[in-house]
Amino acid sequence: MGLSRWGYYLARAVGGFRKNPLPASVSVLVVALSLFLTWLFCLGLWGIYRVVPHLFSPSKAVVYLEKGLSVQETERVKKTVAGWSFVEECRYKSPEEVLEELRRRYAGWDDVFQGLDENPLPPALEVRLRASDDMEAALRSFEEQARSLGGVQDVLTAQAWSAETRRLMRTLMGAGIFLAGALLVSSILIVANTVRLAFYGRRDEWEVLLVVGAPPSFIKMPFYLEGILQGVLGAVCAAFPLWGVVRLAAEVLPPGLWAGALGLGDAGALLGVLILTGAGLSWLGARLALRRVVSY
Amino acid sequence: MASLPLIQCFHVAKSYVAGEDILRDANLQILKGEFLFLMGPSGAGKSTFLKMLLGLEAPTRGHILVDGRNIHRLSRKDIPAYRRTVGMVFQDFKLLPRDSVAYNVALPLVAAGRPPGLVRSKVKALLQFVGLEKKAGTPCCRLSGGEQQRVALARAVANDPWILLADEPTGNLDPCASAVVMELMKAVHDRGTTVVVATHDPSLLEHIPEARRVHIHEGVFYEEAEASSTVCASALGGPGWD
Ligand SMILES: Nc1ncnc2c1ncn2[C@@H]1O[C@H](COP(=O)(O)OP(=O)(O)OP(=O)(O)O)[C@@H](O)[C@H]1O
Ligand SMILES: [Mg+2]
Repeated sequence: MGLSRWGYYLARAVGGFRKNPLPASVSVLVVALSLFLTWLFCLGLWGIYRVVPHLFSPSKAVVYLEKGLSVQETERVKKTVAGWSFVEECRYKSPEEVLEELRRRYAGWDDVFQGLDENPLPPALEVRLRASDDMEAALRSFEEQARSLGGVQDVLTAQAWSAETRRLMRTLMGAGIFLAGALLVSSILIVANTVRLAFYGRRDEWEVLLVVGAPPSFIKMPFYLEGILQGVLGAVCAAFPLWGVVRLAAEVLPPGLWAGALGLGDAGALLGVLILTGAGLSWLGARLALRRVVSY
Repeated sequence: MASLPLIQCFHVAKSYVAGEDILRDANLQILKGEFLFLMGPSGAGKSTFLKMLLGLEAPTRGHILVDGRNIHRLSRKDIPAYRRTVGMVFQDFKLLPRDSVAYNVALPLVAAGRPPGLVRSKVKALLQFVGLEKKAGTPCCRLSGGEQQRVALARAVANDPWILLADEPTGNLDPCASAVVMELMKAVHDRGTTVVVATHDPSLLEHIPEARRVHIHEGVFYEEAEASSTVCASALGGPGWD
């Protein structure tokens, strides 16, 4: 028997779980499902973000300069570009830096970069535009003006992604966030409901505690723990399929492109993150259920 | 041995439904170390009064002071500590039936945050006191009524309360088990605890003949001497109390 407060809390929480296994299991499953889908969505989103950086920072553009441009010429182009009103920042990058960055970004595709005797890339200017209401128009006019400068080989902007593609991505992302939010909220509510049920099912027990002078926190803590236990078990249930997906992604996609980037490449970290989110959700649920009960 | 007033009630009135007073203008002083029987017919308001002393119910009017403090003006966070200075025993025991005897007795100690070593030794001593050390591990639902009430008594005095309240403690017990429980209450009293026993059973009084006797009649407290001359024949009717 638990002779310390925490011993008591834990014994009561586990006992409560065993007393009402059905609602508790439903709660665990709902938490597991929401955590799985939400984290799947997050990982997918992160993967896309890694592959398509422009998608999420449409204010960036790259101006590739002609190879062998003199230092003075380069400086002149840079000054001109930096002087435009809609340019916020303009940085020069040598061919080596450009190559290094590509290597870093596409870490999985080393073989592409091997066998390069000499750097085929031109020097470039990395430009960030000022935020404006009509970014599309700003990018278009930037591209036009930049192309008309002497010494410029090519201009790459987020324009490369058509507005429709970006709109579609944005819609998908919005829907994903909405769905994930709905799932998380419903798992909070279902934990709250299960905890409330357990609480009123054990009225006899806490009425005795009120009489013997137990503080409200002592009375509520086992029910908090019972809720958190549901969240943690749900997280463990979600970890298995999610780990499967991460492994599969690691096989199919180049390493470093997918989950490894989130730091979820090893099972321990993934489980830790899931348990933290599961415990957080269920704590919110328990808090919702126990907010107004047992006040003197 | 009794000296200072521990419990003071001034013009206490209580009604659950507006206009229907259960207590009307109840005045009472209970001294430190007294043993008091609170008598009255069913529905007189004995349980209600004990609940007010424990802070489970608030008086509609008037004040109840315990050790000089108005217990219905206590802040929320002081209430649990106050309740630990008052032990309560019920007619229906109110134990956790599936949990062991020792667990039930340990509960108020654990809730008060006492260290596990102290809880263990205290539980042992309490079970010895009520003669149940051999049943420490037995679930309470497997005990007889008399044994259950002894567990409840051990639980009530676990935190060494100043006051022990008992609401019909022998209502569900046969005479033999009642005698044991009353003996234990007397032992608790002998250790200096103020004891208030609410009952409508006059035979209990025989166990502690020297105890003070107060009657509730129509919402007012009467000492036995007063009560016998004023209300005995008319209202209390039935069996007398001596
Ligand atoms: N929670 C409540 N709500 C409404 N009325 C109540 C409540 N508790 C008690 N009463 C009423 O208050 C009156 C006094 O009840 P109480 O339980 O104090 O009597 P008692 O003296 O303990 O009686 P008994 O000897 O039968 O236990 C009764 O008429 C009862 O119906
Ligand atoms: Mg009663």
